[in-house]
Amino acid sequence: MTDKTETLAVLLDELLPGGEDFPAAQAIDLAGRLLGRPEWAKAAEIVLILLPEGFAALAPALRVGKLRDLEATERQAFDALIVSAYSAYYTHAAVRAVIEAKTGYAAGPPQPAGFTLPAFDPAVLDVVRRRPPSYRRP
Amino acid sequence: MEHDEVLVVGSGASGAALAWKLAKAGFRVTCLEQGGWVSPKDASTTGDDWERQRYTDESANPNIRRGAYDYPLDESDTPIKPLMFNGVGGSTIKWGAHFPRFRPSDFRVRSLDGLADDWPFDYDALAPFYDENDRMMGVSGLAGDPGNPPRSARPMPPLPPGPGALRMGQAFDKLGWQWWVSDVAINSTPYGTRGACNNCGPCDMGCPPQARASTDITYWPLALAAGARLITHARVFEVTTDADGRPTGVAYFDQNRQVQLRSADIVVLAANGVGTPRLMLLSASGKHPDGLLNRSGLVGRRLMHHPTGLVTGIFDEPLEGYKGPFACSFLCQEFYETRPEHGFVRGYQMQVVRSDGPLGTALGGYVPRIRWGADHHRDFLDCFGHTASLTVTTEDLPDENNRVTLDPAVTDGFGIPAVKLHYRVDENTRAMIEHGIEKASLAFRTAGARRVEAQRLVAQAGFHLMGTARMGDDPETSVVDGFCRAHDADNLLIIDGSVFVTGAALNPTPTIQAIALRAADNLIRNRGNQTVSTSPTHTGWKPVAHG
Repeated sequence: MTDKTETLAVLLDELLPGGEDFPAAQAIDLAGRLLGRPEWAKAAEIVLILLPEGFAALAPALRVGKLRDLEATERQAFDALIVSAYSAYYTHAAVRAVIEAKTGYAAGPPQPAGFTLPAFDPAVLDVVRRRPPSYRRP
Repeated sequence: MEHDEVLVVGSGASGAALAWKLAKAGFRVTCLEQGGWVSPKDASTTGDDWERQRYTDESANPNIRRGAYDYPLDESDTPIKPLMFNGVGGSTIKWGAHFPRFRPSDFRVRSLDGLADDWPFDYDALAPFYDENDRMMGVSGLAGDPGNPPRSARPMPPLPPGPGALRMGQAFDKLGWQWWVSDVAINSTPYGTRGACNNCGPCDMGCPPQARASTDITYWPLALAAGARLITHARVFEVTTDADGRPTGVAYFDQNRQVQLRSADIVVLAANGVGTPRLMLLSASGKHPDGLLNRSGLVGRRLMHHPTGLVTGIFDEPLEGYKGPFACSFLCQEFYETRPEHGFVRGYQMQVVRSDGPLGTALGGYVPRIRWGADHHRDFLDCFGHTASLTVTTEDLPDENNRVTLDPAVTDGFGIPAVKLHYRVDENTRAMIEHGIEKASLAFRTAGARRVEAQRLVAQAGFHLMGTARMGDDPETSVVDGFCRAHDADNLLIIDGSVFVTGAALNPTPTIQAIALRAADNLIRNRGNQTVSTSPTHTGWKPVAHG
């Protein structure tokens, strides 16, 4: 693992730590996933340049503080990283599997299976149906 | 040079409807479309990467999507970002298919409320064309709404509303508010050759069952069968004219980037409320120094959107809002009409919308972005599948300072000047949005929401592009007449949202299409009396340099 990848992995673990059965970023090699797609890698590399020297070696609380500072001062760059990190994380099969297990939302794409819902029941309109006309006629 | 009886620019909501009706009546019709065909069966919702694509290369915003067939839009001077699509079907490829009709009062704003202008026709003149369009597009819904004029039985029963909408319907009843199940251009049952909705959610990404209507699968197959021609990858950059300034056809780049001229008796612009004024401004000439047929000076002016606030309720119970068409379920019009007790004129609709998938939830759309850090996963689970939302979709009154201009500095990949939008949200609209947020929040609390979040102005909501070549009876204050014919050359028609006099507070597509069908009906009835150019095309046009 290069210094760049290692620093990015530490950074991403602060953004997306494990919890509630979700994997931490490092557990699914989110850094590798980010660096594998040019537009995500670009966002990551910009923030890596902006990080203070020795970021990865800082205590966790200090790392979070540095990231909060960066989020406030370099909003555009930090926002691009968040979009990239979330995009990489929430399209990962392992994360989708956790979501399915915890919410029932299918891990696969929405087509072709779709979802089932109870059919419309006209009785839901019983109250409003009795109201007088409420539009204006010129 | 090839010659058509009618040449249509744009194959979207209006262009497709008019082309079908004229071709069926025996007209020789050709349509030029800037993009190509999009296969609904190949929608990216069949792939694991679909959510990422939804926010990037499949975004409805051309500046994000950066498709090969798009043109740049300078959106630096507008808080509402324009959304559109170039391809067969136009922006119906990317829409949510909410399909309400305007109300009678929407056509009489001047008479009823003393501001803006009346339309040159009323609701009743349009009603038969709404009906015709409903049959062609396929509409699910239910007649009997006391909030709107009586209408014919809907072709299909309503879509399943889902748990979130049911809660909101009950809350509206408790509050004594008017509401009804939405008319939607999505099949709840098989309709013709198209299948039924399977509640997958992201209608904007295409619909493999072809349940969600788009004109590539509704009007176009029938228009082509009736003899209409459709030329794709045709980038029109000028309406050509004769020495008297009467339209004679168009100039365009074909798919090989070669300039082509095509002549026609009648030219019809259907390129949306930004693309149409762009083309008219590009078509300035000696006879039309301020843009094609722009005696009124209103081409590009009076741009209207539907400025939208968004209110979201977060509930303890799972609502499974990711199931079902994202934009469609119930519609509340309790605050639609002007009332003396309101601090504003006109009003707004509240549309019950569903929710996002996991990535959309995390990035923030209906709810604020989920914060990064130690609480991220808890906060995500708190929101995902537990929300319902209400749009506060307001009527935007026309303002001549809100406008579309040619960009002096930016061109598309063919060297054609791009577009710049200049737009401000007015105080009346801001008051409406504040009122709507208050009322929507009340509705959510009544429905039992644990938390309510509000956005005051949704930026990525510029789907409805209206008013930039308005219709009217007076040539000094309007661009086209009530049948969409240019005042100074009745063989030039504009049939998209550009012609709207006022914008109402409802999704405009059914009204755009009904107006197009009415304009086509008028052409059919007056076919033998149509004035056309008998002079050669003026050669003053200049092919722009390739980019």
